[in-house]
Amino acid sequence: MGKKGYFATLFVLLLFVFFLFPIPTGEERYLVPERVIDLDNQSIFHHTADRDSGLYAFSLGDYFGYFSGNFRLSYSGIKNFGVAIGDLAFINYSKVPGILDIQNNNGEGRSIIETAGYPVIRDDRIVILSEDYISFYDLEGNLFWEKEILSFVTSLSITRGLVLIGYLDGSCELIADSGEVVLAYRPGGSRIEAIYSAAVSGDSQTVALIAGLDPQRFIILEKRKNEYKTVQHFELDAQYRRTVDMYFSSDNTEIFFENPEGVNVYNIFSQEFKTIGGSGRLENIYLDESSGFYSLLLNEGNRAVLKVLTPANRNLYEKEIPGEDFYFRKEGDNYYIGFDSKLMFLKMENG
Amino acid sequence: MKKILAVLLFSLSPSLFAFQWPIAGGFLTASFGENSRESFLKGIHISGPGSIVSPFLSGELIYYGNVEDQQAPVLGNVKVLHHENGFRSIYGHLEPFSGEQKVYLEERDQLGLIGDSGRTDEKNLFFMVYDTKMNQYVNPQIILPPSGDSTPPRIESVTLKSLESLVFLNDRNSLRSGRVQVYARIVDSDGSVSRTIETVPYSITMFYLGNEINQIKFDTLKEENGKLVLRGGHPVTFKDLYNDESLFLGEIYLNRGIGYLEISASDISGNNSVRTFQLNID
Repeated sequence: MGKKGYFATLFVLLLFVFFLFPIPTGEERYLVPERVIDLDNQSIFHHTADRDSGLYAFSLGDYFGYFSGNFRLSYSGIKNFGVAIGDLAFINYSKVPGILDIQNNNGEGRSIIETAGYPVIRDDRIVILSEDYISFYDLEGNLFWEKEILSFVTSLSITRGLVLIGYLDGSCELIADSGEVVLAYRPGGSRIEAIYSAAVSGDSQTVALIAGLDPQRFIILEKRKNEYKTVQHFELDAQYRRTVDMYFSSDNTEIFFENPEGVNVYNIFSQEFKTIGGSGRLENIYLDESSGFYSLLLNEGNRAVLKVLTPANRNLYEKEIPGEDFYFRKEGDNYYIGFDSKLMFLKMENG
Repeated sequence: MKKILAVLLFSLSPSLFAFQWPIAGGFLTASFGENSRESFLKGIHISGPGSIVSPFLSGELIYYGNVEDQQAPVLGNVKVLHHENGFRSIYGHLEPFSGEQKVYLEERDQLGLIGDSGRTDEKNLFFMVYDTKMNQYVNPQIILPPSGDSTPPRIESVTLKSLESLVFLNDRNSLRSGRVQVYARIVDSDGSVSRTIETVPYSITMFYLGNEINQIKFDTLKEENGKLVLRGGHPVTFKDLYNDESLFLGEIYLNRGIGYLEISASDISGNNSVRTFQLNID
């Protein structure tokens, strides 16, 4: 079968999966498949896309790369051991510690960092974490600061010019580009002290933590003048003994993190909690600022569930996706979903 | 006072708690405090004939994560236990695990399997013990049962360094008077003929003219003013201790006449080596 035939078959299969059992939801929403890319059939290091509209990074199973807003694959590669990737650059690192090669989103070499640590890229910043040090670089490999660490790092959150680090000893630190420790905080108040999740909002005004066991607490700190103050804390019913992924909405008004029954949503202004969605590990979640709808992908092990929900947790759309590795990104009405080696581009349309 | 309490705790620990090696028949491949890519190693690396990893002491699982579930998995697949005595034990580079995790574990329970997860190039267990009461890492070898090692550390070389000269010491040496820095290369092994693994000794003491000048002991690592400090003997930071492959033991002033420099090194089992150097000083 030729390449065109292969794509055609995949496309038909895709249509089959998404339209076999359409769910009537009242306020109908449809995800209309536009294109699919099978990464197994892509030549590696393939650069074709128009780059003007900006590129989106993906990491899916053994693959990583970039695609454009109109879903043209710009670059794809196979992970050596792991990949740290952001929209601007990536580091495809090997299992044996040594040199980290920072590459632009078109694969061109950008700079090199010699380190034994693990890289994490967010926007134009790189955090490198080793057993002993945490370091903060720009994409040119310029070191902003380096800090010796004593405790095991459980969580990291990076936003413009700030790194929030959660430690297993129950403390957290917020460190600026300059290396200044803006916040050093230990919530305490639990039989076992530990930070299980830490997130800083995109506008750096809010810090959210999940801390401790017996009880496990959700703690909110807000920036008041130049200091972060605790403004709310809640005891959580479920007690996680692992890192819990936590996200701020793009408008910084809501915080999302999983619980066994669904996704906790905390509104910073109303200080109200609600649970939406269903069980499964939260892969990613987006809040549509105009409609208030949530789009989320929950990973349930050998399948994932894509949901679109109203603010009142009413299902507008739900679809099971088979696979083990998943990826989810939403830009406006465009949905980019990955499962195993397939990347799909879908458009949300009203019914 | 805190130091005395810590020493008391260490000395009483074996009788109060039934510590065991996390791998039956395990042996050390890297020791506490050694040079680990420009920093002190905060635990020990263990290999062994078996693959099962058990808790070194009964405890409560307070953290676990496979590589893909962590945001920065520097220790690979990892589990952490909290113990009644305030210790936390950390087990890294495990094989992947799945399913519901048992929360309370006894010494006989299986915690995991030895693996090579994370950025490591060999199968081993990275094992750390953290004392939450003293906020410091503890050398696990202090509290684990003796390994049966009967081979003393080897003092391979001692070097005197001044602004003008660098002298590798022999049994008898002619030197000029003045201030010198003393460096030594000292390695320890467990004496096994089937493997050649070199680690740092547990304790090093330097005497000059019969006086103790410095003692370095690899007991604990604690953060002080943003730096990790090795404690037990004279507190020392990584940069102050390690110089390439040598250890900086301190400074002495050489007065004219004959002086004796003595270096003593011990391993955790109490095996001891001593080298004495005669210094003829003009």
